[in-house]
Amino acid sequence: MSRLTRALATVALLAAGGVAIATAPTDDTIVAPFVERGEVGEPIESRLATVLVDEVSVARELDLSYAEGALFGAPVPDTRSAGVWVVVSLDVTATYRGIDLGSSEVRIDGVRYRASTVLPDPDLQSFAFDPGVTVRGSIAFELPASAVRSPAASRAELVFLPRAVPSLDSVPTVRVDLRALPVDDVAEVEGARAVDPAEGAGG
Amino acid sequence: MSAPASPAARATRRRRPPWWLCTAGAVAVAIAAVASLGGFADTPARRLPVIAEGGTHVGGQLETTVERIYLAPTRPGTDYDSSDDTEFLVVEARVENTTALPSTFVDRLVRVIAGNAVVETDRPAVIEARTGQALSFAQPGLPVTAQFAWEVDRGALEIGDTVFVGFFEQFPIYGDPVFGDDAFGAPTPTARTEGTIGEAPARSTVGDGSAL
Repeated sequence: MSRLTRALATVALLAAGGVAIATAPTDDTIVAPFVERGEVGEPIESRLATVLVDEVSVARELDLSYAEGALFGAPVPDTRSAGVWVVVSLDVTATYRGIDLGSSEVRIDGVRYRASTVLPDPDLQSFAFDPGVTVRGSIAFELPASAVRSPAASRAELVFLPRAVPSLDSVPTVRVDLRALPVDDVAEVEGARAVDPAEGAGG
Repeated sequence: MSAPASPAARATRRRRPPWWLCTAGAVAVAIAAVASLGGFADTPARRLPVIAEGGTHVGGQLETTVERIYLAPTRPGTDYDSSDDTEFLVVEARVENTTALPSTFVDRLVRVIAGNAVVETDRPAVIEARTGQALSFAQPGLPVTAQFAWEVDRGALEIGDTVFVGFFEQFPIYGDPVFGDDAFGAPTPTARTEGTIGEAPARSTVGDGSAL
């Protein structure tokens, strides 16, 4: 093999290696969750839970009267927002073990907004989900007002993460047009409660 | 018996430098590289940049402005009195997450040195002033008033005492085996400011004052 042939072969191998590196999937892509898309009013099945979004509303303040009697005299959290609240009412049925919806997100144009921890007990984020039992309640997300007014808000995604690190797991996702929703003064929040799956929106 | 080497091969062998010369050359290159980067001497300690009182620390994730420092008889977020022997040093700051992801760094964002009452390793409780609840993350683009609170011996600090506030940062680590490119290294102090303990607000900002 001539020196020129060896040089060309080396360059070709280096080029092939460069292409392989440049086109290799990133770590995040390799372990990315599987998105299970659905619509409002439609049950979405995933590995850990079935989720049915009943209603989405936008408001400047939350009505937390569901917690009446559960605060034991503690002050009601002030929920008057400098931004807005996106309140999602939904039914959730864990498939085979408990889940934690506390890491759920609203995503708008690549920006991820996490579910608020402001809701008092009993709320969906602190609820112990028993497999097979449908639970109804609300999740609230606090966002800058500019986020829901942006054009990208018409393609906002509600992403229900059943655990904090959802790598390679299936994740129920609902696309909503937040921009089309009116901004109310107050949005009612539902406390979490077990329901008959045949009841209301879940049935 | 092998054939004698050709004159050209013998010339090539003669021109090749001995192994010890190659090794010495490599060592010299390594020493020159280390020396050009400052050698093995300890990096001299540098003073942290000072942010003027009331100024904003612009971090990679969070922008932080200390708004007031005071002593509170009740734990922020509650109306419960502390024990007779203690009170709370509260550093109240406006915090804004400037990234596209929720930031959980708020609990490591600030440390203070206040006389002998609080040292830099003491972790504060972090409370959102509006709701009175623990602040576990900062939402992108949504400023929040955070109360960093340390329980101190009553009388250990007084109005007018100086408090040194250190701002911390964490920097991304790429290719983490568990968290991929979403991982961060250990918190690092990047700036400091000084403040003075002032009068406590008339009433701690907890909820809307009503109870269900």
